[in-house]
Amino acid sequence: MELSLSENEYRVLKALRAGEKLSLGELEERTGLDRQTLMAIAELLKDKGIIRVKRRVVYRCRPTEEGRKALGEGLPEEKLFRLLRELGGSAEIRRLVEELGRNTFSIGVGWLKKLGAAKVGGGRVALTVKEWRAPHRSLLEECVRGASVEEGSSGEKAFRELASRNLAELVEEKEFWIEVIADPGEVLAKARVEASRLTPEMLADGTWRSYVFKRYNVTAEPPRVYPGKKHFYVEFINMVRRVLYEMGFTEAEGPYVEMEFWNFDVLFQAQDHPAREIHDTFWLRQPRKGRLDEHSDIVERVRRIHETGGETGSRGWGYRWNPDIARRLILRTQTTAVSARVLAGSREVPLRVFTIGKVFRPDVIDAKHLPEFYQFDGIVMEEDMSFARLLGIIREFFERLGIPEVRFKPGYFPFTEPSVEGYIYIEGRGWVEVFGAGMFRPEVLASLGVEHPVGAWGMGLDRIAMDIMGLDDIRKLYTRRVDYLRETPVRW
Amino acid sequence: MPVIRLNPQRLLQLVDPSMTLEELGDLLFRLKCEVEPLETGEIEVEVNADRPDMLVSEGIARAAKGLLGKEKGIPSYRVVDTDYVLVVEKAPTRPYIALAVAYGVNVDEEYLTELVQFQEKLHTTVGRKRRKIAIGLHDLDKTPGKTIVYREAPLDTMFTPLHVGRRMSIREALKETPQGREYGSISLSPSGHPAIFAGSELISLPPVINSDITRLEPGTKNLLIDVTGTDLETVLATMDIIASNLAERGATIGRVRVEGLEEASYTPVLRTEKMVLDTDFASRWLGFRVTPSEAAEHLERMRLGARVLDEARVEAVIPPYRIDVLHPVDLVEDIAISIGYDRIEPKPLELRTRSKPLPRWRLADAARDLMVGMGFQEVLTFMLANPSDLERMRLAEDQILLENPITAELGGLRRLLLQQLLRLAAENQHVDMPLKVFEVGDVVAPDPGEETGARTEFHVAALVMSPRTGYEEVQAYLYALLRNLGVGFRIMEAEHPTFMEGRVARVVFEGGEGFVGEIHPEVLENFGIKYPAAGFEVDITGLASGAAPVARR
Repeated sequence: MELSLSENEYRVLKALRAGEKLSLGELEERTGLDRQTLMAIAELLKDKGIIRVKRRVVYRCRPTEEGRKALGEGLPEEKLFRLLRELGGSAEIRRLVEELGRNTFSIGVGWLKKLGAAKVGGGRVALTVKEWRAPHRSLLEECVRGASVEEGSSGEKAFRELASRNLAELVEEKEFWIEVIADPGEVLAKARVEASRLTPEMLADGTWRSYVFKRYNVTAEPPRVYPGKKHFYVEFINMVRRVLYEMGFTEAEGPYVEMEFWNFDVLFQAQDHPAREIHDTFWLRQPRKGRLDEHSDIVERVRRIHETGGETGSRGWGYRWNPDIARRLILRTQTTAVSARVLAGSREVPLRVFTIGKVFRPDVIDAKHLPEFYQFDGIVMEEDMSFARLLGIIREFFERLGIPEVRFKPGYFPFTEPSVEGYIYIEGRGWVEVFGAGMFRPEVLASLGVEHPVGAWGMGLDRIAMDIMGLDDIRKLYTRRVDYLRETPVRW
Repeated sequence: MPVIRLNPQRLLQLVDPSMTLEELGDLLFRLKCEVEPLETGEIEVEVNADRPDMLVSEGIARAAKGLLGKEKGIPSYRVVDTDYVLVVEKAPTRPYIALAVAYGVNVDEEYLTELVQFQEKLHTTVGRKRRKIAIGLHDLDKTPGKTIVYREAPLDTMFTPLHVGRRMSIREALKETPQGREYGSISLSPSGHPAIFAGSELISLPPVINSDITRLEPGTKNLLIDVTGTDLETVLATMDIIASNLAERGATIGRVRVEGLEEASYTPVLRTEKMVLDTDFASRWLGFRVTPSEAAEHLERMRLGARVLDEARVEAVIPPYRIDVLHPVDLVEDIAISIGYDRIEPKPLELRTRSKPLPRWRLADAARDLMVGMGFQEVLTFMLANPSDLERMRLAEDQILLENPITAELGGLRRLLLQQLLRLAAENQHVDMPLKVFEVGDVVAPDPGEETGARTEFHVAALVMSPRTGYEEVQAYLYALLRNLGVGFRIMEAEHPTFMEGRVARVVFEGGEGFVGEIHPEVLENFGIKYPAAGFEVDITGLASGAAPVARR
């Protein structure tokens, strides 16, 4: 049977020599693998009969604060030895106690006697040897180097002496030893090495041939990856834009904070129109009023047309128009305000312009309503612009969007006549009302100073997007749940 | 748009008893109405705001019969003079009034319900919630006396409010009745409240409540109707609509002599008006040819009067029940409706113009591609924002604030995209980390230099939230974004309260600037975010600018 080795087993075997014994610590140094890994590998090699693993308890010695001090200043027995030597080899006890203090003297003389380096008699201490090295110094030095001793050995006894003198402490450690019982060289020569990954080194030296590559569980669930994704609704809006570009429309934009003048008055919406009330329009607290001084011509025309119809042939609304109301600042409620600003500055025909942007209404949030949503307005000004042409352009737009069935119903908007409400047919949903359109009223054209007929439409893009994407809740278009966005597949 | 509930059988009876409900729905669709059957057996009809004459079955039937070709032109209603007199004295807070009498209305339970609904819908639409006009309906035979006086009455005047059951003062009625609490302040003046008297009795306190003594009941035969308001034109027009619809039911309209009103000597006026339609204008506007005789035919089907004047002109007569005809273009609409929008051939699109996309979308799309390429999820947050979030970001910047927000959390417009991204991060702490989100979009800043007091800026912002994110990571993304957009930039040490000191830098380039940094722990705490976060926000308005048909504000 062929022996197969993992990469790490290979690495460990390479570091071993036949017959040697070594600790885990040494093996750590040799292989660079951590303790945890090595213990696991040792088990595997043991099972393969290559090594034996021995566990034993050792005591690691650590010097105490006092021990470190003694190493520097000298142990009591060393101090006594030095003093005696200075005094010629012997001295009176009284004298020695005076010099060293009682404590140091007592400990020192005890150890010198015990170790046979001095004798006591007649009130005097005398050295019996000329040269002497304190055995506890060597032990302490070993301690500082982190020496350890096996349980029950003579070394342990010596270290315990140090501990009893409070110069060191012994910490119990379990240690693993490895005895190599087979010849690693032979094992390696016969074995195939298993590798978990292919490395550039294997390719460089061709050693990949000697490896067995580990089999993976290829049907296991991989870690989740969340690609960066574009927002699906932004992409939808871009698609609408592209359709309009293809139809020859130029894009315009206008301010979110708008004067009622551009949002309502210019569009022939009377100042007491219900849409201008607090329930249908967001008013601003800061700032409150805009400036109309740059538009005095239009303002004067709007005033006359609202009050009497001016020269338009209209009866007007028959009330006193108030410029202060027109200057009131709001969040635009319709992108038709942008269309109006465009027309106020455009005289040249043909003109085809669209705008897509957020509009705002004080609706409470539920599955069908949000206080802000995307609206999409289009205007076409041409010498021969007509209602029938407008219907054709709208039909074309939806056809290009992939919606061939459109239905027109008479409707009412203050600024268009005839006005039309539009329905599209969505598979599974039936007819859904999605837009309003019409020919701008002569009163609106005259207010803006426009000479040619203008067809216009406005539609809530959110509704169309929901219908096309099959969403049942408008809030999903603006969800703040990142997991929902991560899980929603990309539309293609 | 106003929605009314009707008994479909009654409506079918008036229009054409042989019709099915579905056919009726299709017919009404062509008349701007949407019909929805209800479980109760009733139908809900959505009527367009410009046609208050269709807020009751008789009005709908009149229009429907025209479109069916069963009746044409203006119906001739029976109108007689009466010996009722309306004396208009001073009521400065609500100066105008019109009265009408209707004989032979014959109110039954069903009609009473519909009539009250008609009255209420007129209040909410043309009446602007009773501020502009309000209507009172009385049983003529219970009305004490034939001289009706309209004047301001002192608040201690006593009467019995409708459905209250005891006499009380005007003051008490304004305080104690639900109608009083809702509408009591509309026409109240320091010296009193407008009131209508018959004999010595107060029969109506417009626009609040009627007196109980003239209460309508099933069995009431003849009506007295009052319309009061602040705008004479609307008062007279509304009265014309009500009178016409009672007459359509078969009632005889009685005119009341008016004293003390300069503009009218009797009411209802039942005004008709002539308007000339140039059929060349109509043809151009519609996009196909309409001859004068065709135009006249269509107008008559729409229940207007019409007469061909010559080969290019029709004289239309606008009946008293139509208040929506302001301009000949409104006649053009009626012609289109009579033809049927589904029978108008849409003209095919001709390519006559070359499109000009806004340059900023090219920039936005490039930036979006790059951010997505770096693993960021694009998000789309609201323009409406929580104004206190700027404070949470330790900023004191001016921002756009709303007068009437729906909730405090949506009380203003966003000044920075990061305020929305931080809020989003706070709500997404449970998802797998790292959270990497970005947005490209508009923010709004107050700006007294602009005519609207505000300017729009175009920003790109990104936020990373994860246990290990930091300055270096987002700085690397910002560098990659700008370098790949081909933007040369300078980066410098900066201070910004939203970010940690020493871990925020300002980036400046031609056409924009911004900040990049590690979000300050206090900001994270303020948003309830429990992970480190870092991000950047860059104003790219200048970079995105190009020739657009309208100046950005």
